[in-house]
Formats: sequence, C-alpha cells, structure tokens
Amino acid sequence: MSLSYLQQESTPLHPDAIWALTWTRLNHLISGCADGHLRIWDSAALSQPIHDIPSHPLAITSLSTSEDGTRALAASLDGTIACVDVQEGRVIGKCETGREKVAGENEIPAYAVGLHPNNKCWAWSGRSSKLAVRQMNEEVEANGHGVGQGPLSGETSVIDTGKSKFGMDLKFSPDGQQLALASESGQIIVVDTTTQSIISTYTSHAMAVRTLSWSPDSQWLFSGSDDHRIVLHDVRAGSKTGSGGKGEGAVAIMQGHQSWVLKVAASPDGKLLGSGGADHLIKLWEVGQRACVSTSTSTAEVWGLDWQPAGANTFAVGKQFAAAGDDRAVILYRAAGSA
Amino acid sequence: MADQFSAGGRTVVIVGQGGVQTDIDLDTLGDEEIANVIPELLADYAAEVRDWTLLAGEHWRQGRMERVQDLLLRGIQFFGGGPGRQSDPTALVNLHSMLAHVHLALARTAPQVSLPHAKYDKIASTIRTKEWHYTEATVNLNGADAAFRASGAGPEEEPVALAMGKIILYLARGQPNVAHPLVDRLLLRQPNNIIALTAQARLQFARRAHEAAFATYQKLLSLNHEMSPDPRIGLGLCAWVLGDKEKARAAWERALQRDPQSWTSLLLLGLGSLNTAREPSVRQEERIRLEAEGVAYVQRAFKLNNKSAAAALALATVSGQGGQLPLASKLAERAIQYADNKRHSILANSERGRLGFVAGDIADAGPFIAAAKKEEAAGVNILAELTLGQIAIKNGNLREALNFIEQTAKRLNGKGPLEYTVLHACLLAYPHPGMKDDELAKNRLTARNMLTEVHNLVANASTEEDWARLRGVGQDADVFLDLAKLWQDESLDKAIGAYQTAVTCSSDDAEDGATVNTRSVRISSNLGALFQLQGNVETAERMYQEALQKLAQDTGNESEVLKTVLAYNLARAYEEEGDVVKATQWYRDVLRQHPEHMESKVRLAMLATSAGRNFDAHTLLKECLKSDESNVTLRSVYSNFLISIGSYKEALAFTTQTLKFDRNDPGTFCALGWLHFTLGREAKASAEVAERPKQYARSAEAYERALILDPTCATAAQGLAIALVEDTLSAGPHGALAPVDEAKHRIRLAGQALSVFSRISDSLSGGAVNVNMGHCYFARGEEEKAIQAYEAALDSFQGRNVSVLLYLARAWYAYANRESNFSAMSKALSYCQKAMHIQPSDRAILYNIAMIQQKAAEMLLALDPAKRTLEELNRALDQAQQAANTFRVLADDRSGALPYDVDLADQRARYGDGLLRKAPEQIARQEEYEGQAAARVEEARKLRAAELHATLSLRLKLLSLLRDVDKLQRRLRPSNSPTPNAELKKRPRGQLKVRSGGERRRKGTLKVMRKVKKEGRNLEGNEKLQVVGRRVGKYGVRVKCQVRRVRQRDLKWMMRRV
Repeated sequence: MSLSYLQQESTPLHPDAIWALTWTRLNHLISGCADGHLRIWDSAALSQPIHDIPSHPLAITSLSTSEDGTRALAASLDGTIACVDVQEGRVIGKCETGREKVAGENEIPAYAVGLHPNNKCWAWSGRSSKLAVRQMNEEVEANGHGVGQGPLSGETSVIDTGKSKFGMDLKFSPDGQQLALASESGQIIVVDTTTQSIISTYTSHAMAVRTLSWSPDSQWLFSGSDDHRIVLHDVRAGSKTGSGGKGEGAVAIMQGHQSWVLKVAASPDGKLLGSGGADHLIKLWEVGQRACVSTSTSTAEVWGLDWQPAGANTFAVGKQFAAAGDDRAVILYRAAGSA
Repeated sequence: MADQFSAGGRTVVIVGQGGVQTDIDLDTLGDEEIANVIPELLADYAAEVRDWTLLAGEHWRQGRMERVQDLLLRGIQFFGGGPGRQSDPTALVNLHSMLAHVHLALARTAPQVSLPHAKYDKIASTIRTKEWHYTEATVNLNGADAAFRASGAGPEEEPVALAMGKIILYLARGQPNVAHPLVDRLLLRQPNNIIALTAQARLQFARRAHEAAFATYQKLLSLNHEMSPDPRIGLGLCAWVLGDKEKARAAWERALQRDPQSWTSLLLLGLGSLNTAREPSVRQEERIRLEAEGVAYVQRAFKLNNKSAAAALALATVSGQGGQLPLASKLAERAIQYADNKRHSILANSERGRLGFVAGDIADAGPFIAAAKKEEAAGVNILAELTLGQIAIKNGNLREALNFIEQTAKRLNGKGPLEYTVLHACLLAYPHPGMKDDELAKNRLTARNMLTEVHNLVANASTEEDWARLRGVGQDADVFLDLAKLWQDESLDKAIGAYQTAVTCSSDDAEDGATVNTRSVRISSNLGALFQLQGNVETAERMYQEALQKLAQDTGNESEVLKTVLAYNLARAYEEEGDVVKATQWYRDVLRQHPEHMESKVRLAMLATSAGRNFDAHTLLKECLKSDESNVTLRSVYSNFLISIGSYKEALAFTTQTLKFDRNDPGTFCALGWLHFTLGREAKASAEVAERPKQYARSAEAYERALILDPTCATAAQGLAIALVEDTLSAGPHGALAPVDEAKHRIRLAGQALSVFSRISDSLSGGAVNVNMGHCYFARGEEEKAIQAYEAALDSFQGRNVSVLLYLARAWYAYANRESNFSAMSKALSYCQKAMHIQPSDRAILYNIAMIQQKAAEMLLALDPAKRTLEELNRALDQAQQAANTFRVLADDRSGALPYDVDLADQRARYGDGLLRKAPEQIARQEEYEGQAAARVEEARKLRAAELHATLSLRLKLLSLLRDVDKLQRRLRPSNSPTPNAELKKRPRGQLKVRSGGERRRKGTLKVMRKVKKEGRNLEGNEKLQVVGRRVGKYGVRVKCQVRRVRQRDLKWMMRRV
C-alpha cells in the first residue's frame, strides 16, 4: 500500500530555519523560528502571518499548545520560556529557566517544554534531565501581569529521572495523565502527572531521542532517534508492571530514514504516523502495518511536522499535515484526491 | 626416332661394327636379363650415341631411372675414349646433358632434406636428397660443357638441351639471376622455344613482373595451346597475383578440364578456395563451403602427388585444426622434407613445431621451431615466435616467454596480429616475481594500453565481418578480465567496460550448456562489485540478484561458495544504499549458513555501532576476534570501534598489539599516529601533559612509517601535515621567538600544510581534509577561504557536525570583527545556534553565542553612525542585553563541572552591563544622525518630486498636443486608400495646401492649424501630417503639409524635441 500526499500551499520564507511547528484546533499554524520569533498563521491563508511575535532572544527549539489551541508555550536555546495567547498574538508570560533556582535546587535551563492539554500545568526539561512541572497561574493570567508574576510563576515540583542525561523532548499525553521525556542518551521516561512517579523507562534507543509523539488515545508512544529508527512503545504494557520493564514496551521498530529522525507526529485518527528526518525526507507510516506508505522529499532537514487536528474540520481527519524545517517555510501536504 | 618406332614397331635395330645387326624389342627392355646386357652390347657394337640415348629414353619413359643412369654412365665411359679410341665430344655432350636432365628430374621428387629428427614421416636413408641430385646434375653439365668446348663448336651452337639443363638447374637451386641471362640468350637464338619461354615466364613471375609473365604465358598458349605443362596454370597464377581471382580460377579449371590428373591445378584451386575462406568479409556459411571445397581439391592434388610440399602443408594446417595431430605432423614433416622453396620450409617447420607443442611434446617441437627461426633470420615468423613463447609459458618460464615476445615485438615494431598483442599484453600484465616494481608498473601500463585497444575493437565490433577480423580473440573472456584487473585500481569505468565485455563473452559460452556456468556467475558478481565501488548501487544489486537467481537451483560446492559471496555482496550493496534493514537480513542469512563468516559479523558490528548499539557491536567483534585473532582487517575494525566509543587508551594498546601480527600495514600505523596525536592533544592530567611532546613525536613517527609503506597514503600525509602546522615537533627553539616572528612562522607553516592538504583533498573523501584546510586558512587570516572550506566540510557531513558548525561560527566571527560587518556577525550567531540546537547539552556553545552577541553590540557601538542603522543598533543592543543575561546565568551556574571559565563569564557579564550603559548615548547619537539624514533625504525627495512634477506636466501638455496632431492626420488621410502602407507606396508624398484669409500672422497660423487638424482626422494612427512649409504672405498664411508614416520611435523623439 502506498499513499500519496502532495505539496500544497506554503508560507513565505522565514528569515531563518523553523525548528518547531504546531497546528491547533483553531486552525492556526504556529511556527517557531531560529530568529526567536513565533509566527501564527491562518492555515487557510498562508501568504502572511496573523501575528509575528518576537518572543524569544534566541532560536526557538520547542513549542507546545493546549488542546483548545488558545495557549502556546515555547522555549528558546537560552532557556527562556514564553507563554502566548494565540488568538491575541500576545506574550502573556515569560520565565527564564536558566536564572531560576527550582525547588531549592540548581537551575534547569529548558530545552524542551510541554503544556498540559487542559492548560492546567506545564513542564520543562533540559540539562540534567530533571523534569520540572509547574502549575499554571490562572488568576495572574487573568490580571494580565508581566514577567515574574505571570501565568508561568506557579508552584513547581521537580521529578528526578535518574542518571545525568539531557532532556531533548517532552510531551504530555492527550488525556493529560502521562508525561513522556526523551533523553540525549536514548532513554525514554514516562511519568504519571498526578502522582509524579515514573511509570516506565524505555531503553529502546542507544542514541539521542530528539522527538516523541503520543497516539490520540494515549496508549502508544512513538519515538524518533539519531539511530535512524522510530520505535513504537505500548505504554499500557509498561503500566502493567507498575515500574515498567526496561524496553518491554517496544512494540515495533520502523526503519527507513537514512539519517537522524528529527520529528514524529501521530495523525489525529491514530492510523498514520508522520516523520521528518535529517535526510530531508518526510515519511508516512501505516501504524497498523508498521510500514512506510509514503515518502516525500523536502529540500532540507525537516524539524517540524504536525497534522491538522480532528477538531479543525476543514478536511477529513488525517488528510492534511504541515511540515517545516531548515528550508525556512511551512508547507502544507494534502492527501491526493481530497478537495 | 619417331620414324624408327613407326617403321619397326617397338623394335630398335642396332648396327654394330662389321654390319652385325641386333634387333632389340623395346618392350623387352624391362627384362632384367636383357637390360643387364644392353650396355655391354652397345659398347661392343660401338653403337651410335643416338642409340644410347634412345634406349635410355625408353628406360626413362618406363620409369626405370636406375637403368637410365647406368646406361648413360656406361655411354659416357664408352665415348670418353679408351685405349685405341678417340673420345667423342659431341656424344659426350648429349649423354652428359641427358644425365644432367635425369638428375634434375629426379631432384624434383627427391626430398629437400632428410630430417634426422623426423618423427612421423621417416625417409629411407638410401633416398638421395635434392642437393645430391643437383650436384650430380652440375657435374654432368660441367662435363657436357667441357665436351662441348672440346668439340670446338661456337657458343651459338650450344645444344638446347645443355642450355635448358643449366637454366633448370639454376632455377631449381633458386638462382634466378644466373638463369636469367641464359634464358635470354637461348631465346635470342630460338625466340619460340617453348621450354625457354616457359622458363622465362617463371623467371618473370619470380621477379614479380606478373604482367610480363602473363603476356609470356599467353604467347605460349598461342604457340601451342595443347602444350603441357599447361600455360593456363601460369596464367591463372598471374591473374591471382594481379587480383583477378575469378579469372585465375577459370584458368585453372580449364587446365583441369584438359588434364584431370593435373595436380598443380587441383592444388592451386584448393589453395585458392582456402585463402578466400580466410577473408573476413566472407560470410560464415560461405566460409565453411569454401573450406570444404578447398580441402577436397588439395586432397586430390596430394593423392596425385604426395611429394608436393604445398599440398602437404595445406593439409597439415587443416588437419591440425581438426585435431588430427599425428596426421598433421606427418604432413608437416613431409612438407618440410619436400619443400621446394624456403617459404614452404619455414612455414612447414613452424607449423610442425606448433603441432608438436599442441600435442604436448615440447621437446619434439623445439628443433622445428629453431629451424624455422634459423631459416628466417631476417624476418619475423610470428607463428614460430608465438609457439616459442607458449613453450616457455608451458615450461613455467614466464620471464623467458616475455623476453621472447618482447624481442620479437621490437622487431615487429607494433604491427603484430591481434593474437600476438594479446599474448604480449597478458605476459606484461603478469606480476613476474623478482621484477622491479617500477618495471612492473610500466609493463602493466603498456599491457593496459594494448588490451584497451583490443577491447575497443571488440566493443565496436558490430558486423559479422568485424567479428571475423577479430578471429577468436573477441570471445576470450579471460583477456578482458585481465584488462579489467589492470584498470580496477585506476578507472572503474574502464574496468566495468572490460568486465561487461567479459560477461558477454562468458554468457555466450554459457548459452549452450544446461548446467550453471559458475564462472560466468562469478564474473557477473565481480562486475556487480565494480558497479558498487563506482557508486552505482542499484545496478550492483540487480547484478547480484540475477546471479543468485541463476544459482538458485544449483547445489554444487562451488555454487555454495558463490552464493555466500553474493549474499554478502548484496548485503553490502543494501548497506551502502542505506537500507539497513535489508542489509541486516542478508548478513544474518549468511551467518545462518556459515556462523563463522567473519566479514558479515564485522559488518553487523559496524551497523550496530552506527546505531549506537555499542554493546552488541562489542560482543560481535569479540566473537570475531576469538575465532581469528590475527586478521588485520578485523583488528583495524576493532581499533576503529574502540576509537568511536572514545576508549583511546584501549585502542592504543590494541593497535600496538596489531603490529605483532603485521608490521607492514599502513592502516595500522595511521591509526597509531592518530591515537598518539589525540592522546597527546587531549591530555589533561599534568603527568600526561608532560608526555605530550613524546606523544606527538610518536605520532609523527607512525605516520612516517605508514608513508614509507605506502607513499600514496593520504591519511598519513594529512597526519604529518597537521603535525607540521601545529608545529608540534619543534617545540624547543621557537619558544624564544618574538611574538611577531612567531605569528609569521605560523602563517608560513599553515601555507606549507595547505599545499599538502589541497593535494590530498582529491583522494580523501569526507570533510576532514576540508576542515584542516579551513583551519590553515583561518590561521593565515583568510577567513573567506576558511569559510568556503568549512562549508564544503559541512556539506560532506550533511550539516550535522557540531564542530564544523562551530568552526564556521568562529570564522564568520573573525571575519565580522575584521570587517566590522554586522550581517557577518549574524551569520556567526546563526551557525552557533544551529550547533547548539543539535547538541543542546553543550553549555560552552551558549557561552559562544553570548560572546558573539556581545561582540556584535560592541562593534556597532564603535562604528560611525553612517555605517550602521538604528534598527541594527537596537537589535544589537537587545542582543547585548541577552548576552549579559546569559553570561550572568553562566557565571552563576553551580551545577558542577562546566566546559567554560566561570570567572570569565562573570567578567563578561559585568562588561556587558558596562556596554549597555553606553547604549542610550549611542542611540541618541544615531537618532540624531538619522534624523538629520532623514531630513536631508526628505528635502532631496521634495526637490526631486517638484522637478518630476514639472517635467510631468510638460509631458502631459505635449501628449495632448500630439494627440491633436494625430487626430488631424487621421482626418487628412484620403478616405478611399486601401491600406495606409500600400497607399504610401503608390503616392510618394501626399501634399496638401491650406491657406487662410488675410488676417494677422498668429491668428492666421492658428486658423490654418485648425484646418490642418481637421484634415488630419482622416489619417491612420501611424500616419501624421507634417508641416513642411509655411509662408506668410500678403493674403494670409499658407501652410504646406505632407502625409508621413511615423514609427513609434520617431514619435517619442519628436516628443522630446518639442
């Protein structure tokens, strides 16, 4: 079986590479660029951004949105995290993780950041692979105060995931129950958000894992790594034993990229998985068959890839996605045959 | 004599002295008793010489040559005089001449030589050779001559028999120059002497005066068209040599018709057919027919005359090709022994030698070849030389064979036949033991050129004729395999070409056999490997797959081996293509069959390493090492593995051990060089730092050793160049240099190293050389070139090498500082961010980022306001703020060991704050400057706008005017004109005069113009009315107009003029 997705509209060229990309339920595309700007686009009109927010001092490396698509959280190389009101295009809170001592310990300069789907808390990680989870400060946000007292100044707890590693990516599961962390040395750690205990640790990769993605039903976790592989983990299998057998949850290995896997994203119907690699390839995988069903070639490294969410009902689910990377433009891909 | 026969039937009457008559019945001459008494009888009767010769002639006719000789000798004895008798010179002349002729006739069928070493065709020792007969004939001719002189007759009375005898003797002995004047003299006396004419024709033929010979033969035919030997044979020969083969054949056939027993005609016809069959342009079926026909003719000729060397030789060649070696050898020996000319003898000797060699009896072949060579000392007998070479090859003396062949090649001067070239090339290509390396290399080059030429011929052969011209050479796969091997190291393309030809050859062979031809499969497998080396992985895969399919059903031992090789090759191809999954599958497949297949295991280990599964890789490699500890390739892989996981010291120990197994592997020394260098450079502990110079020295030593082992080892050259540029080897004296000199010294070293790097950059793939070149350029302060080199390196690392990204950032940073270029600084920042994005765990990169940001601001603050913009300034100041923050963060970091100096970070942070304090002042300055500048710009803009406005309004006015004129013209155009173009051609100038009444000038002009306008309305768009004359007269103004076609360009021009 093979599918064919065709390149459609694209945004104008950004000033620099795009290293983060999300598609919200409100049909906004948010691109995080290496020039430190967040740009918010209407997916139906890509000729110019709705908002262009100079939110960060350095390149944006990580981006996460709430399920309803109203809030976005982004981190830059220096560890600055900004929270943005997507509709208004306004920074409503900032936090310099490199300068804050967390829970009485050392600073955790953020590289990866994750926003809880319900917007109730957020998490970040980076150096030392400690995972910081902070409650969203809703009241302050309503008052609209600035840095230091904004929505990002809530109460913080730190989860130590063990050995000294570096956190490369961070994702809340769609049901908000779990939080997955990928590390530079290849481990993947799944944490329960309520108890803040580690559910399982996977060592299915031996090289840096740069990207994670949950299936929509929060049962499966996909990881993409520098070892060119994508691994599908069954999180339930890990949950059964409580502490999680090492590597037991690895259900399938999908090989086909010829270089690092930079981005994985599960489609909203859970049938397909999209992936982007340093080999300039965008691949689609049929999750049921664990086989690659489509390969498109981009002109540069593909760092960002996201599907149109199920709620944003312009097209049938799983028919449209966006990709971006070092080619400096967000490009839409649509299944051949869908209007 | 004829009278006597007819008169007395077959009886001769001999009248003795005193009238005694004896009748001799010629038919009884054959009786032993009668024959025995005849000479006595003739002597007793003192018979006339006529009777002697008559009886001798009868004997001759009946083939009793012994008797003829006997009788004639007795006659000579008798007429030579004795007691009481005078010698009779006239009789002696006759008798001697006759005896000479007898010997000459005998010589024709006598063997040339009787070979002592003949193996198959032994000649009885009693049989005399030609030479003996010739000597006898000479003696007799001399006797005849002496007698003739004794008789006192003049030279012009010389009997024809005597003259002819001399001529025949000289001809037979191969001395045509002596024979020639004799023939001429004879012909002078008897212009129509048939025998003399025949001799003349032969002489002319021998002198290659073929046309003259042709004429002589024709003359002969006209003199006596029934004569024998038939001059048509001679005619045919001339015609053949002159190129008219049809005519030649016709002549011979005619001769054959007249005399079905003419073996000469048969032989010539046969040879003709055989020769025609060898022409490359003859089609295959035709060739077979001709050959069969030729052989049949020659065979018949041989049956008629089994002493004909030419027939024997032709038959020997044919039967030798047919594989009947003893028969062929016998025929060849026959040809040698009965050869009547040198050419035949040489050919027969070499053929016999070749046959002996083919039969496997080298000792037997030797003398024949030697004889052939001896006889043809001046020329080159290729067949003999080839056989000699082959004998040497068979004996295992390849050097000797090469010597033979080379010596001959020198004499051939490059014009040998294909077979010869191929043999020569193959011998040259062979790695003769004990030969000097440079000689070997030179020979290989020569061989390659020779074979490439042959290959070109084969590759371009398309018609059957081309193939026939190539003879068997084109089908010999081995030749092309040799060629492929010769090219392999230098040109894959050419090697592939040769291999493809070899595959075609071997698959041609394979077609007729039902069994799998493992050889052809192996060749295709090799071809696949070449494709793979060339980078054409897909074709390689296809070749392997096809080969595997061919072998699928076969279970032989050899095919099993081949299957393994193919499976491994296929896996390598997949691996190269990036299809790790399939590659792994195939490697595992091989290992399932052969658990000890080390190469597959090693590849699996490499795959595991590249996927980061170091543990698996380690296990696999350990297994391999256990089974074959001494394999240098394996050991080098393990060294590489240890290096890749950063265990340098273990790697060093292990690699040092490798030297125990092989001290001649340049790779091992390169690895050692690298390890020593790296260990020296990375030394942290003070004890190790103290060791540093020693490590560097060892590194250089190892690289040098590698270079000695392999002078083309680019890696070792690179290692030494690095040592050179780092100046690691001569730490001592330079320490004392002044800083300026020191810098100059460094730049010079970098230049030297650069020349090394640029030379090896072609032979070393990957970015390492480019990185090194970048470093050198950077050290020399040539940042642009450094950036180029680094970018090339980044390309070959596919953009994912953090160090190279940082080098690029550094180069841009240096460039930006030198040029005070803000956008270059942004480039540096961009590269630095890229590096950090890929490897976010490295905090030192963040320090660099902050450094770049701060420097950018510092640079802009120092710049003249005219060279910067407010926007840039603001952005830089933002960055400076961020940099200060970052430095603060970095300085306050207490999380453990840090890859940068915390104190420095602190200083930088404070410096940043100081920098930022200057900001407002600078911004104010910039704002003021830009305000002024803006004002100036605004003013200038206004001025320009006003000017523009003025011009524009003028233009507009003009335009409307023109439009008016235009309308006017349209009106003036005659309404019935078909097209303006045609109209204008017909009527050169439409003229029109308008006049006004007697008003004042200006008013009048206006009025006229209005009229003109009115008229102009009839004109087409591209026509216009031109005012060509205006006269102000007493009664008003008169204007003269012309209708003119106007091109668009003119219109514009006019606009401007107006």
